[in-house]
Amino acid sequence: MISICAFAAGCSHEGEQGAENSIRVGIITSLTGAEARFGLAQKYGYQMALDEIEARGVLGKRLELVYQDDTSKPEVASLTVEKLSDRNDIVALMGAYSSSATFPAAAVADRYHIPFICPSATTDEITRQGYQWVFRVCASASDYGRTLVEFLTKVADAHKLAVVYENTQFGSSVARAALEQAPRAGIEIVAYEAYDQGGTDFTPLLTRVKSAGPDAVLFVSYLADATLLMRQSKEIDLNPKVFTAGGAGFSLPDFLKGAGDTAEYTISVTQWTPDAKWTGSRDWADTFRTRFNYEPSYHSVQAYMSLMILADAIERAGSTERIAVRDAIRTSKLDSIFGPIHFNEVGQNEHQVAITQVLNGKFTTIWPPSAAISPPVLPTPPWRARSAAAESGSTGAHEAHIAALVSGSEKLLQTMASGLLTGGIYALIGIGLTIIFGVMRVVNFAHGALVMVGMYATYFLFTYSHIDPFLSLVVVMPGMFVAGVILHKTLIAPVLRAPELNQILLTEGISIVLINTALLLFTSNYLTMTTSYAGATFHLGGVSVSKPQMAAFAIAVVITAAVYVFLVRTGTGRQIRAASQDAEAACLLGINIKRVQALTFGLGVAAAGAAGSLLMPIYYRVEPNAGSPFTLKAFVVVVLGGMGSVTGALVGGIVLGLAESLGAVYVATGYKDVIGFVIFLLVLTLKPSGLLGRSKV
Amino acid sequence: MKRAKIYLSVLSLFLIAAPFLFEARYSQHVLILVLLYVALGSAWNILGGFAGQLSLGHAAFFGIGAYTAAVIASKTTLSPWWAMAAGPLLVLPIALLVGWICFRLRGPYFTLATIAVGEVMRLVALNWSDLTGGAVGVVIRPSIFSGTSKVPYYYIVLFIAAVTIALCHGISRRKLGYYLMAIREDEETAESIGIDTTKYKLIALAISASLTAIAGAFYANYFLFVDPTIVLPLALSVEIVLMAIIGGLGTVPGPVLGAVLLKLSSEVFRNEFAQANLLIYGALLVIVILFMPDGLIGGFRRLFRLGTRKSQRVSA
Repeated sequence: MISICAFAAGCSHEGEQGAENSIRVGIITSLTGAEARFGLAQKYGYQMALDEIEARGVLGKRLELVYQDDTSKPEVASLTVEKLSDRNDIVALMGAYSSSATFPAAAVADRYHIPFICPSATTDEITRQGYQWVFRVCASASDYGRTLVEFLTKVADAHKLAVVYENTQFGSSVARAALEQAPRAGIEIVAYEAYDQGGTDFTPLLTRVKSAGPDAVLFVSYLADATLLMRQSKEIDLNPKVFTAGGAGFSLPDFLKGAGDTAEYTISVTQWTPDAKWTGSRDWADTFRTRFNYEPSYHSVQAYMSLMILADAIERAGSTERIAVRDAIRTSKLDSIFGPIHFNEVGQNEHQVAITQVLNGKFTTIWPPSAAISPPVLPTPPWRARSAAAESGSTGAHEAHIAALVSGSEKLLQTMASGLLTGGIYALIGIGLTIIFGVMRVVNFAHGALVMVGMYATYFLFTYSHIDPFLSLVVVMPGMFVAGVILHKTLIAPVLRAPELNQILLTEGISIVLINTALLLFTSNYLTMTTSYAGATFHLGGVSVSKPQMAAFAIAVVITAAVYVFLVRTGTGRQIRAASQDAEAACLLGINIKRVQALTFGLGVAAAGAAGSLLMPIYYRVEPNAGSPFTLKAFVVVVLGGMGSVTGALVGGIVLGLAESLGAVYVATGYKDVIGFVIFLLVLTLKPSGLLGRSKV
Repeated sequence: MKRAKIYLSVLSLFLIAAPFLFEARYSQHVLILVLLYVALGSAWNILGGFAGQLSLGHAAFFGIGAYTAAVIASKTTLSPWWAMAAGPLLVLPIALLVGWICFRLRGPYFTLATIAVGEVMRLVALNWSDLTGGAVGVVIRPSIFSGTSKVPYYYIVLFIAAVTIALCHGISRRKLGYYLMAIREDEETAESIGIDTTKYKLIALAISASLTAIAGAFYANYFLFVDPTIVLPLALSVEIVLMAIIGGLGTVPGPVLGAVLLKLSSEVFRNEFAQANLLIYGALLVIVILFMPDGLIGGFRRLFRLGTRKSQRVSA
């Protein structure tokens, strides 16, 4: 009841005062959730515009921004439009960040007749709905596709294109545009692969691409995946004539840090670069750097532009009437740091996208010719020539390009190898979960978040104390063990007698708290680290194996063996096993069951932390949601191996790793997780004790 | 009993008058969402609360209802409101298949299997783009209520919620309800006294899934946009369950109370705490589960009972 009253009161009183001397603009962006780092980039952009407008004001009034967090969810984004459009003191809205959040939000804004400016959502659908109140500042997905195809035919002379895209609204829009445009320009699409965002291993996917023999590759990915795609392209020695990308992850400053030297020569569409020849863009970038100590990305510029366009429109309209403002936006004509601004009849700013190439570790504009600063370096030198060049000190772009086709058996071996190695990591994550489940019957939903904690710990140990990630296990595991024991004593033990769903939801609550604490402490930006052996591979009969992945696999097996020996040979281990078989009987035999449970939980959490440490040299980066994909995978592993069985977890992890990579290569990348879940359901229903049967350890 | 009736009629009057008491569109929108989650939590409760089958895959049924509306809108000339009828019909065979697979399993194994079912549905919707539009999703054009008023939607969702609660109430007082609770308390014993447990679990699942699909169909017609991240995420399944647990598992008013409190508080937190809003939400979740393991209804009851016992002792 109290909250109902608060809610009713909140609606009627909010924002009535002070309306006469300030103009309010509603801003929807992602302050929390998976897209929070882009929300932050946008926020900086809005702040830049606000700083600039502050001095002169708009119509002699102050401009005030009303922020709404869409928590990275489309449903909430449209809810915030419902909320803000209702307030008469708000002139216009802008946002959100992602395509999937912006699209429904724009629909609501149009329905309620409030001007709505989209800074950065690229999906073509937004301008295809006949909206009268919606304007888009950035170029659309089909512009990306068109520009890239034009570049590939005119400059790169590529004929066989492989498209690899994240299966999101943004990714599939850009990929679809390329799919439609390429055949018209005489380019054949030889591979068209979707993958689930936040991938943990792309070698199967890239192997599939490699065997299609493309002379150009197009990636449409966000930062985390972009980094891993490039590093793993090197690992499996994928050598197209040119690596191209549909903006997003590939054109962010953090990509250069995360991908390291593998970023070199990649070509990407971009909406804006600091070196663009547009009025004042270099100065703007300098101001931005000093103000926020942060490299500006096009997301900030788009947000900045959206607010500048609105301020200009209000000024020209001479009023804050929504309809007058809308008509003024429609006739905007600005010469800006984002190029000339002009909206066409569907509300699209006719923005010219540029193409950049990473040259000497910097984004350099190479297309269109009018904006180019330097000519493109083509074809991309093969990976092996690059390292040779680095050693001999020459530029090394002269080696002839060989479109390496992979033989059938090599492809199979490569797929099996990467499946096996990924399986080792899955196993280690699964072991933690399985011993916790075995002893306490608690399904731990916080497991992925605990892996994330291990990743952050490893990152900080490496960055500030220069402790190697593999060595940091010695610190991370005991630390996580203690944390696990404390977590058990304070939160888990009290609910052990409650219904199991309470336990699941409690651990889910713990997961939310851990992820959002990380968000507040470390922000949502990726923290990337590069070890000296990052990307190192060795070749075994045509199969390339990543050294850090191999090392991680070996350590995972060693840890599994150690846990096994501990459970079988030591007294405490026997007590744990006794407790997992029959807690009451164990109690009657004088085993201190509480102590055993706390130990087990600590051990499980330590294993999750170890997995985090081992993931860092492979994964290169950490962010608050980095561990989340592993929770469900760990469940699958545990069920495949039989709940409570350590050796089972190893087998389950390897089976899942192999199933995923074989599925990705020979069925379809998009369905690889379905394969995992189907095996999971089959094992659950046909052989609930797991693949190994009745093994108890 | 009489007092309960008075409360109920006051509440009904309030709910019928609500769109006129809260004229702001935003308040009406929040009310609609609250009622939608009341319906979802209550529908889940039939299977999860009464029968004790703790499903974490209800987003699958919600998604099927919503996608039925989306496919009707994009592939036919019919009104997507037909999904309110077609959704449950479509969901029934799928629910029976899911039941056939999952009801062999007990406890956490059942819960994990339902998670897998939900995730498979999401991945299918994501990859079968010819039918579902894939990640791009489907835009639905408003077909009957093309104006901007939310009042018709409010009454539709109020009706859905009321029917769902009435069904829950009815089931809890009839043979079916007692059978389900017997299954929840001890499945072997229920079986031994002649209850066909699989049959009754399937009936509970069918009712629960159909009601969830209806809510999904409503959501698509109201929200006018459907994509896999909106109508099929695991987070949605978790949220539905939260409503029931926080309110009180297996009671009729539990999920109602849970939905009202959780939806309103997450909205208040989002408005008040900026970046920390999810952190506070999560912390609160942990606290409630630790200190009120049988939900708010149970917590209140215990408080109340404790109070009366004390007063009795005093009077004695």
